[in-house]
Amino acid sequence: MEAYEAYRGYLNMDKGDFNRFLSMYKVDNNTFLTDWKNNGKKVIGYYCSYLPEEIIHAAGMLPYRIKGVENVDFIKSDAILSRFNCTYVRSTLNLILNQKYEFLDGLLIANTCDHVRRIYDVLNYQKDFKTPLFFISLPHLFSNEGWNWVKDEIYLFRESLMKSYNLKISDDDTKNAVILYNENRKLMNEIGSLRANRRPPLTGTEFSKICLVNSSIRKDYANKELKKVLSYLKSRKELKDNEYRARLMVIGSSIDNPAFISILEHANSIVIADAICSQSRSFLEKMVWKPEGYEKSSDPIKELVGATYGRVLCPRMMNFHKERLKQIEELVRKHKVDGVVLQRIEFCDLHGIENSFLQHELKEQLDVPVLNIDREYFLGDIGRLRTRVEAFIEKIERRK
Amino acid sequence: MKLRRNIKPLVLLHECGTTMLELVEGAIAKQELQVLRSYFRGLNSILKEDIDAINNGAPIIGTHFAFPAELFYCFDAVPICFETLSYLSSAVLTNGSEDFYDAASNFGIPYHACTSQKGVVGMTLKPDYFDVDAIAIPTAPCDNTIGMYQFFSEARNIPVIAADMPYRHNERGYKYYAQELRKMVDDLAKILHQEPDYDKLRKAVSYSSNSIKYQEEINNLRAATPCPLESMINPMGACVQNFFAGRPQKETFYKEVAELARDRVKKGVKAPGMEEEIRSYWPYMSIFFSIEFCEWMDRELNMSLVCDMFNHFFFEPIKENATVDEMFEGLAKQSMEYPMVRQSESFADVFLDDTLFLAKKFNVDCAVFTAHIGCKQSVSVIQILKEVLKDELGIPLLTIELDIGDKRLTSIETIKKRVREFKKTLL
Repeated sequence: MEAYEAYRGYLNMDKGDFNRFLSMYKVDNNTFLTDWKNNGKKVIGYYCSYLPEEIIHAAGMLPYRIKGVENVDFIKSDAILSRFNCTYVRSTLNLILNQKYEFLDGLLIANTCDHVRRIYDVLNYQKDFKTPLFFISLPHLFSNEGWNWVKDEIYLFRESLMKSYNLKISDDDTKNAVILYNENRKLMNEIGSLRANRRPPLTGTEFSKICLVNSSIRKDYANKELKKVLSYLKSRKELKDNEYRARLMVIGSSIDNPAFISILEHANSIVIADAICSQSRSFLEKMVWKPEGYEKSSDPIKELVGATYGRVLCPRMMNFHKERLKQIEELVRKHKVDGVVLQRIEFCDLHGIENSFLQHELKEQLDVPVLNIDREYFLGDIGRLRTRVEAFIEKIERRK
Repeated sequence: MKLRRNIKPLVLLHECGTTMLELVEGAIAKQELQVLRSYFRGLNSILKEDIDAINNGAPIIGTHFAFPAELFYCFDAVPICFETLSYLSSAVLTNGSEDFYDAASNFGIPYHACTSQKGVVGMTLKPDYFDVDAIAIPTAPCDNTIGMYQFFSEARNIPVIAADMPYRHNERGYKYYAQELRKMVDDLAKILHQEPDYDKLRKAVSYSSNSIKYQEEINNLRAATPCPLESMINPMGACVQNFFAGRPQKETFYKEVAELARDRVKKGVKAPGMEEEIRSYWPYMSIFFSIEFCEWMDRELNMSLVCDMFNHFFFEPIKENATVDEMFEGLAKQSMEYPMVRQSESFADVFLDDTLFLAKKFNVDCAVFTAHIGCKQSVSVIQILKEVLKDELGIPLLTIELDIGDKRLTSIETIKKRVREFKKTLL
């Protein structure tokens, strides 16, 4: 009985705890981060779902996904970047230059898109920016050679991390991190699956915050908290009676500002599925691509190649659009999606171009209504967005 | 294999090019516009050969400016560079490529996507206008390449074979990319039902290798003051480099231009009409939608565009007796060090170093950066480039935001005004 009580206590989370957990997506509310730094521990920032967080974790550091959500102007970033750069990247650079990320002990960047990869270069040329920079070169195709290339890049990154901070990252440390991250993906997927319910126990805005918090804390801590979140959501009452006007799926550019999701949900609609890199796309459980003759390996680096290169579905990979469409189709069916919102941050070419043919494919192949919008990251155009969302929801209702 | 025969843009360009050359030859004095004459002679001849070959059943392979087109000549096929096709059309057709850009936008392609591919996207959307049998490209140097060529595979059902170009330009990267090119030729052989003929490849490589020797000489001669060549060599050279690749016309063009420059330097004469008060280097590229812009710079503004990013080459020719493996390795290295690819699909240090090197080599007074809306990775580094040029060489850099293939974003008058005002600050 005592064990049972302890177990219940371990899993207990009330509404207040849940809201406190959600608020941790902002730096100032992230009590875990504050404690971590107060204990003299290191944090490495990173930009994209393709990067091997597990290596950073295995080094005893906190991998922290860079976000632009708390940015309020572009004064410093626009003195360096161009107005043809996307406002997400300009926001993150502005925050970095404004010392919002002064807690970073290093920053890991890859050639994920044209905007992000240049952050490495512009920071490299800032005389006042002393934080060590790391870079991983990623292929744009799935192939056996690409797989081996990524494996070498992860080895090189591990080496450079050990050298830069004078530490040792053993294979056992890496293996343990891989296990922990696999558990994390499983938990996030369980939470994500709750959104398929007819009456989902969480909104899209809340789910978005859970994803953001999950990428801002250590995964050992995250997994404990996510178990509580899962338990809380399964027993949550207040949202269960809601009937929503439309169940939406959102696809496209990175969304690390939950306010954007709340605009999509403002007209009594709910976002119940996504193919977004800062959300569900970062914790797909199944590998989407494997090399010929692939077998699970005792080498944790090989496992990591599968966890990053083999698992993330992004339009930066040239030969995989059909798989991305298939994944969207599965989610549309499983989550009973009424309408799809395709969105791109202005100047995001990868998603902008893919959205152009996705809108045709979704309408013609899946017969699902599509709203295709371009937007700014900083949400300066909320009135227009709201009107378009309302009109879209009315369109969906007329079909029902 | 069912071949498609919709090649209206090629026919149209051939007609325009022929008319233009006839006009120039018939109406303008012989010593004028000599670079333009060489260019159109080569271009018209290539277009004529390509149209004839296609009409005789040769398959068409769409390709990319950053890809070594020499490779396609190991097959009986006609390679057409999409980026050049878009911008050639923007330069010589009455309304440029605007109708094609609009067709692409109507489909849903964002306005900020690169016009270098958007032109051909629009061409393939027009009924019975333009189509190809296969596409072979690199995965570089930008997101637009990645996105737009997926349009061709997904929305137009054209087989697209891509060679993965790594971000790291070192021996490991060159080796990886040579392997990718090898795979691509194997895949293409299956699609075309042809065996690669490496003797034909060797011939194509030799034309380009001979051209490199002339290009090197031209680059050295251009350092002379006054610059011996018309500024228009820059947009034309960008086209010749890939559209003429692997063809005898490439060697002929650069040979003629080298002879012209050599002769002018020897005699100490400048290009006709050019009064060189200011020399400029353009770290990105010049404007493609206006064929007269460079002439305006030379003759009215008295400011030479000595060189742009697309017209200086940092690679060695492939040796004559190279083995097949060596040819693949050489072509891999050349395409990774190709203008723009070298500076764009890698760390910005290369971009900065090259700009400094060339600004110094050509002894220029200023630099002008065409901040092309489609090229996000290039516009990202303008500010650091500006600072480095100022700090290291004391050279000012003008930035003009525009679309190099579409006059509707920034008109030619606005561009001229910006350059004119900039020049005033230098005198």
